[in-house]
Parts: sequence; C-alpha cells; structure tokens
Amino acid sequence: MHVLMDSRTAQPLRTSEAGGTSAARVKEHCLKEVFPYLCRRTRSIEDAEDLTAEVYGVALAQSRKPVEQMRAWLFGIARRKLADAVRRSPGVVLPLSAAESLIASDFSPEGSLQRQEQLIKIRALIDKLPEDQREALLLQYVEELSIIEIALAMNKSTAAVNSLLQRARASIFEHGKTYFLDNSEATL
Amino acid sequence: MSSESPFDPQDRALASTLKEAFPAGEVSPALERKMELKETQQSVRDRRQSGPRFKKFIFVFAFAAVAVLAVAAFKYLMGRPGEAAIQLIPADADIISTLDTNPSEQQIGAFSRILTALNREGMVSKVDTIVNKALQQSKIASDIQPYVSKNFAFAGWKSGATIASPEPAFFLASTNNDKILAALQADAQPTSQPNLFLLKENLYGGIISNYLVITQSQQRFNQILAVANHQARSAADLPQYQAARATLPSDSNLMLFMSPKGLMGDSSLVSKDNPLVSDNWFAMGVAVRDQGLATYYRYPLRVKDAKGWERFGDVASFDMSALKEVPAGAYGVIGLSQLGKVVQGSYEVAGENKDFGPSITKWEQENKISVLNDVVPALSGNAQIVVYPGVTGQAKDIDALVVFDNAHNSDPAGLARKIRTLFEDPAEGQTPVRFDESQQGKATVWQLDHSTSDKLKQTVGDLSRDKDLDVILVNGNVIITTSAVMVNKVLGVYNSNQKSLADDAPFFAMANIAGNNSQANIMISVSRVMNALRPQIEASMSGSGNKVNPDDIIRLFGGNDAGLVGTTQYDGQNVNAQLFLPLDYDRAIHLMALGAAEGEKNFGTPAIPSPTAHVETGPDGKPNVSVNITP
Repeated sequence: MHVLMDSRTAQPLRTSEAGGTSAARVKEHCLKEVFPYLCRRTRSIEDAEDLTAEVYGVALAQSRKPVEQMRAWLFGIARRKLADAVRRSPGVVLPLSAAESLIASDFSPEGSLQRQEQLIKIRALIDKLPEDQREALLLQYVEELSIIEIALAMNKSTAAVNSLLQRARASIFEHGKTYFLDNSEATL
Repeated sequence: MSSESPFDPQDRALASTLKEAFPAGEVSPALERKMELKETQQSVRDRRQSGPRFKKFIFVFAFAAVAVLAVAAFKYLMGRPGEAAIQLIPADADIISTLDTNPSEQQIGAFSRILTALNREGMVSKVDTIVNKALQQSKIASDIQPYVSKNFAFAGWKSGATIASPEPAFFLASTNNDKILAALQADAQPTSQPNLFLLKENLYGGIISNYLVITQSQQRFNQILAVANHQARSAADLPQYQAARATLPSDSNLMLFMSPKGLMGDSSLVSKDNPLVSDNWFAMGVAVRDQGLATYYRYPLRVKDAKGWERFGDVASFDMSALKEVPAGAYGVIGLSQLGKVVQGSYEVAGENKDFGPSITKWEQENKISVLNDVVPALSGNAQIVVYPGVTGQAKDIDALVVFDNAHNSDPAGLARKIRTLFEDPAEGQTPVRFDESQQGKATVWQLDHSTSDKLKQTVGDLSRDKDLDVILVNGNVIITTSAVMVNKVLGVYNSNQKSLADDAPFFAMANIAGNNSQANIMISVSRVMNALRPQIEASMSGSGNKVNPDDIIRLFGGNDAGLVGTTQYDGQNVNAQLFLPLDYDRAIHLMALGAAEGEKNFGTPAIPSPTAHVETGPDGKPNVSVNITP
C-alpha cells in the first residue's frame, strides 16, 4: 500500500490496516472525532448524534473497501451527511454567529465577560468567511486534520487547500488579530 | 494542539482560540445506542447479502436457473427464520402462524425508529426485567432463553369441534443448537428416543434442523422429524399454502394461515355440497411500514356454484377519480363500486327464498319501482359516502354527502326522479314530501320545502339547525347533501373553483395506499378527526398529575397527512382486504411507557402469566389438553 505523507508534519499519515477497516476503529474515530465535528456544526446534540450514527452506518456498509485515509474518509462522509441534513431541514445546522448561548454556558458568572464577548466576535468573524475557507480553517485548527486529509475530505487538491487556508488566515488575522494574540500570550 | 504541532505561536493561538470558540458536546449513552443500532442494521444487511461464494460458478452449470432460485430462497429464508420453519410443519396442520422480527430493507427505517424509541423509554430493560423474573420460575426456560431468537412459528391441529383449542407445536429459531441441547440434557428428562426430552407432562422438546421444536406428543415430534428428513410432506409444499402465502407481502412480520378445515367451526360444513366453502386457505399478515402497520387478509369464499353470489365477484374496481366529484376537507369517505351488482345478487338470492321472493315483488308493485330495471342500472357506477366537519366546527356537528355517479353507464338521475315522484305522490294515507327545484349553472338542485324541512329539524333537534336535505343532479350524477353550505361546495367543485377530495393532501396520500383494485374502501383522515376531538381530549387530560401530553394522543396516528385506509376486493374465489393503520411509533411507545410506569406505580411490576396445562383423556382415547393462563 502506498503510504501518504503529511506535508506539514513529515510523518506517515494514519492509515488503516490493509484490506479494509475494522468496525472498532471506525467507531472510535466516529466517537472521538466525527461526533465533536458534527456537534460544532449542528443545532443540537441530538442532531449531531443522529448524523454521527448515520456516518457510522455508511462507514460500516463500506468497511470492506480498503481505506487509506480513515479520518479524511469519515470527515468526507460527515460533510456529505451534513449537507444532506441541511437540504432536508435547513434549521439543523447551527449558524456560527448564533452560538452565544453555547459559548456562554462554558463560563462561570464571575468569569471573563470580556473573553466571552471576544469568542462571540471570533465566531462571527469565522461565519463571514467564504464557506470553503471556513471549512478548511476549522478542519485544520479545530479538528486537527492535515492538509492532505482536508484535501481528501473536501475533494480538493492540496494546493487548493493551502490556498484556502492562506486566505482564511489572512482574513482572520486582519480582522481579529488582537483576539488571538491575547489568547496566545495566555496560553504560551 | 498536540505537542508535535508544527504551527507557529500565532497559529497555535488561533487553534486554541478556535477550539474555545467551538466547544463540542460529550458522548452520551444515547449516541452509543444509536451506533449499536447501525451495527445491528448492518449485520441484517450482511446476512441478507451473504451467500455461498460459489454463486458465480452456478451460472456455468446447466441447472443455473434452478440453482439461483434455490440460493435466493435460501438467502431470503435465512433472514426470516420464523417463516423458514414452514418447511418443517407437516402438511396436515390446520393452522400455521409465524413471527419474523428481522426487518426487510424496506422496514429498516421503521424498525430503527421503534428500537430507538423502546430504548429511549426504557421499555427494553423493563421487558427484560419482567421476562427474567418470569424465567426464574423455570430453570430450563431460563437456560434456553439466551439461545433462541425472537423469531418463531406455531402449528396447530384441530383437536375438537373448533380450532379454538388446537394441538400445538412450537418452532423456536435457535441461535446455538449445542447450548440448547446441553440445557435440555441438564434440565429435562430424557426419553427412549435420542435427543428427545420430556420437558413436563405431555410436553416434548428437541432440536430439529435449527429449531427447538416443542410438541405435545412424541408422535407429533416424530412426524415433524419425518418432514425435516423429507419422508413426509411439508405445508410449504401445499399449493393451497403457497397460493395463500403469495397474497401476503414478502416481508410480512406476523402471518397466520388456516386450512378450510381449520377455518370452519364445524367440520361437517367442509363438504363439496356447501357452495360457500373453498379449498383455499385463509391468510392474514401484518407488516411494519414506515408510517404505520399494514394488515392484509385473504378469506376464501367460493361462490361460483351459488345462484346470485357470482355477481359479487364481478364488481368492477372503485374508480379513485370519483374523488374529483366531491369537495376537499372531509373527515372520511367510504367508496363503493357497482352497488347495483350487489343489489342484483342479493335480489336473486332472496328471490330464491319462498318467504322473501313474494314480499319483494309486492314492494316493487306498490312503489312502481323495479329492482332489476330501475335500482340496479342506477347503482352501476361509483357510490361515495363522505363526512365533513359542520359549519360550527364542533366535533358532533358534521355534514355528509352521498354520491352516485354515472360511471359504467349508470343512471342514478333516473332513479332519483322516480323516488322524488314517489315522495311527492305517495300512497293513500301518507303525507307527501315536496321539493323546491332550482337551476344553478349546469346543476339542478332539489331542496326540501320549508314545511317539510322544519318538521324534520324539530324531530332531529338543535344540531339540525343549519341542516337541510338537498339533492343535486349534475353531469348525470346524483349528490345528496345535508346542508346548503355543502351544496355550494359541491357546485364549486363542478365549477372548478373549489378543491376536490382528489387534490386534498391526506386523501391523495390515502388513495395511493388504497390503490386501484378495491371494490370497496374506506379512508379516514385521522388527524382531522383527532384535531376535531382536541377540546374533549384536552379536557380529559387537564387533571392534576396527568403526565400525558394531549398532543401525544392527538398525533398518535401521525402527522397531518396520516390516514386510516381499508380496502376490500372479491375475485370470485377469495375476499382480499387490507387495512393500514397509521401510527407514530415514537408517541405510541412513549404512551405505552407512561402507561407501564403508571401501572407499576399502582400495582407493582406485572407478573408474566404462568400457563398451566390440564390433560384429560377424551372419549376417543386421545388426550384433550386445556391450558389455563393465570397471573
């Protein structure tokens, strides 16, 4: 089997065992990675659970096929399921800018009100990005997918993904650099 | 970000901030259950799709077609172990029933919703607790229970005058023959026959093929064994059974078949001299569908040799386009095709009777109406009885239409005129009934005159205040209505400015379910009926401590387009009927769970009925078994 390399980490990409995927591994990926991804993009935990189960169902049905890039493959299925869900019921997907309550729930009353406001603004900034840029940015920085995995999941070339990411980063830093710098100082 | 992240500090800050801005939820047991359900569904698909690997080579050989059919049947039946037990049931069984809980492709969605709802409401664990408690009463039952599936078959042999207490045999699909055999060896009494065990008095059990077979006698067990060894004929080989099975959908989950002998209460009726007895088997099947439960019936009725009865098998199908003749917004409709043939058949049957024959002739002479020349030709089209909400909107206020159309060259208007003359010029001593006639576009409307109408309203009471009796003659059709409002609506349909029932969403959906082959059908918009009853339902739920949401009752049968559909059709040999009961499985299971919780609170955990068998020797020397079920 040809082993693909991650251009950014220079590490071999995580690949499945030759000849197919095991249900246990698929399940683990669905629970640990696909479910959080869908949680961030849907209006309710129940919607995210339903979609995760659907992704798992599709993955099980196709599990006899050799899958070199399991994460990218699962995220690709998840993206298609999400798009189907939007077509069926547009309200299923959470508009990023409308997630104040989700963020607020993570803060104690005496917590940083200022930080809370910053996060809401960040979500609004991300929401304003073109859809492809936004998706590539979140897949890289939140879901921690490599460039190649993002390319596979989004069905684009790595060059196209790099371009999307560069433009997304430029836009975000231009309009919200202060938010990230504050946080950077806090976390470093 | 992980420690080996190649991101620069700015990127790391971006990642950290974005993760903070986009938090994710925790994995819940509900998600794991949903994923387990997907695993189950996939395993069902795998089982259905898995076949012998040599299938490719079969095409090479001369008997390819036969072999492929055999493999297909094998694969199909492996997915339906309940039905597959038919192969073991002797051909002389009078009653056969099978249960298959493996969903077909078409049923996966519905089964998935049902299982999710059962899990969500805790019904699965509740039932498991009750079953486990019950099984603790019997060691052998509790030892065997893990190794039998929820698919089984039942066969019965008529042992008395009726089929009500048949001699039974049970076929429980095994998931592990060795474990069941070990349980039988450990807990049951061995018999002189290898691998046959006495479970209790007159109850024998053993493994045949992939089934735990339980019978009341060693002879019956050996008869089933002979069928399994192809030394005796199986019910599956009977053309009558095969014909009955073919009338039910392939994915029926519960099926019941009865032989003519099993069907007739008195075996003396099963003779060739009785024209109403058929050689065909009775069949009934219930199948889980996405929007509810579909039930299918086939009742054999041979009438070819009986004068008059053959008319019933010659009735044309009800034409669903007749729904275009009535306004939208109905609660429900009954459609009947060619009532004239039914009248003609009944007339001929009654004419043969020495008491009825002269009475009918006398009635015809007195009323100057001939059944064969006036009534039968008038009723050769489609007839509909349609019920609508009344103008007040109250549940008890309804309007109705009765429609006779001119399909199949029917002439209902001719009969209507004769009847009007009869009312207006009655026999001596009877009060005449008058109608006011008006022309409204292409329709002629007869309205009951005021004095007659007032008298009628006084008799009926308050609800008749807005009611009237009007007859509309339009395009050769006759429509009888109960109010002036309905007259306007009907005329609106004929003038194409009012929506008809054919364009009414729930009835459009129901007409599709009913199909085009029924001779009689009923379609009820359950959501409209339940919504009309909303005030009463809400009032009855308003008491303190009531956990039932009225919407769970009102929408129990599904959304706005949900409808109950019944159809029937007679082909001269069998009455074929279908009933579709819409059901919102989530709400139904939620209500069941509430009911169970309430019952548990008031009466404790319900006990599983414990059957006890009582055996007596009958006058013919054979054992008569009665089974009592006491909680």
